[in-house]
Amino acid sequence: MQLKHPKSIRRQLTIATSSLLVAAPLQSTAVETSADQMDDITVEISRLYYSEDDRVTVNKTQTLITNELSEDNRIKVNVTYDTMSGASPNGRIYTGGGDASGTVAVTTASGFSFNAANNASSASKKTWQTPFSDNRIAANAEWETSLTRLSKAVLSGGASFENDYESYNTSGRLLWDFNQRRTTLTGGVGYNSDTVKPAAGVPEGLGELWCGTIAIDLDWLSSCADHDQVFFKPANKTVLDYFFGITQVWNRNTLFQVNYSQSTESGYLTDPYKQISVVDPAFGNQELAILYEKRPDSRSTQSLFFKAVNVMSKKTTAYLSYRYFWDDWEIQAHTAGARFRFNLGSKSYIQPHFRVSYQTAASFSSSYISVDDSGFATEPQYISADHRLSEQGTVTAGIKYGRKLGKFGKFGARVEQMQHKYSNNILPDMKAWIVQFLLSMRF
Amino acid sequence: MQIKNKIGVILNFALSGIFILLTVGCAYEPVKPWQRGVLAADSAQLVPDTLENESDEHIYFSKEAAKGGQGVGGGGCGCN
Repeated sequence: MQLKHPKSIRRQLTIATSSLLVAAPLQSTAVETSADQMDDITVEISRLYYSEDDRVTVNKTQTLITNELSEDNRIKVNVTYDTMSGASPNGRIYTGGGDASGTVAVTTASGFSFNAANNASSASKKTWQTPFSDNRIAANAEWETSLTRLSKAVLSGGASFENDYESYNTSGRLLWDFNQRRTTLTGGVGYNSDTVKPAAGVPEGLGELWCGTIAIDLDWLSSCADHDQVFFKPANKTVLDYFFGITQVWNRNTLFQVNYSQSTESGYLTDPYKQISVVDPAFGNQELAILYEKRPDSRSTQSLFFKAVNVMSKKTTAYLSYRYFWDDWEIQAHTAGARFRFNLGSKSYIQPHFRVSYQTAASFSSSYISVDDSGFATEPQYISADHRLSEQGTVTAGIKYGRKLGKFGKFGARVEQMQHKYSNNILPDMKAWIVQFLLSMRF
Repeated sequence: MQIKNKIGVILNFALSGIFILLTVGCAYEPVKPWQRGVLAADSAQLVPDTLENESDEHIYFSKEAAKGGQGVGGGGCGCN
């Protein structure tokens, strides 16, 4: 009889002892353990719709299956499918509408080419954006196992595929409880190996995409009039992450976590689809040529992350976070977030969310390359007009409604709006809507 | 500069709120294992909903230069 119902016995034992021994100390960002989660199989499904005004639209479907193999072993499998389409700023000077001064063959993220002159012939289309369409499928598996009574290991691996991008990742974490299990130390290392493979190949940094008819004296370009584009084979990049964290039960209502992360990226870090305009300021920033951007081939990033959960009352729980990020591209970023969960009775809740971020520009971020009176410009070592590397601020606000479904299920729906403001990059502000539905069932 | 000032005000406000909440409302207490029932609830986890958290991280990673802080690894993308 016992052998036939190991699940129910384990559940009862877990519930009976959870608040005594197990629950809080083993919490971490990536691994949560609570009494209610100790069931054999949990299936979580998410459907997310992301839409930027006049730019990118993403539909994301995710399934996460968690299987408790035994008291000390758990596996998770996460599968994601994204469809992405729309138009993204390509780095060319912002004009507000179509202003093509020549024919520009542009290869997009989805691998098809279009003609920028034709693209700009309609006022509704913009040369500063590149249309694209792509799909992404990603899968990740994670195994969590106890090493001793107070420690455990989490190993994971995964892959992600797009038409023009492949990524493989593996990571490992160790968690160790002490101080009567009030404190958990976490250490981890992760490795990513990515391949960038645009349909036309990866362009040479600062290679010409297009040149106008007005003579310019860029002697560091091979021959502007020749449309001398140089492409290479698919390029690779690797990312090595280190991570140390401490999770502390602060009091019976508060839990917090502090993490330090370091990441080293190397290889091809340039975005093959981003461009930069060469302009003449004497003629109202008239576009004289279009070049591909060029970034350094290494980047070292660091971050300090703080997060706290405070159960303020039976009806209210607060989640607060802050991250300070910095890298050797001279980007610094501050990000703060807050969620407040207000229970509406025992089965449902609403949860407002507020997030704000600010980042400085990368040292080589620039809106364009300008020539002097004699049509000359100095060759930059690195340069990018990618808005994501420019000075920007974001504000996100939204609300979520959640509800229990039966004894072992839950449902959530949220809607949020994110606003981006750019400065140096001279792009119009961007507004995006996020709508997500979440369903979770335990068996 | 204008962005920095506006966002700076909001950030300062947010960080002040976090500081006040943690210092005024949350004195340290060496809680015993049997006093952790409140923190055992699903809603009291640092990441109460994994998929919601992952979705957010992916969006922010795609649109901002800063990333990470919550762990290691994860699928890369050629995000636009």
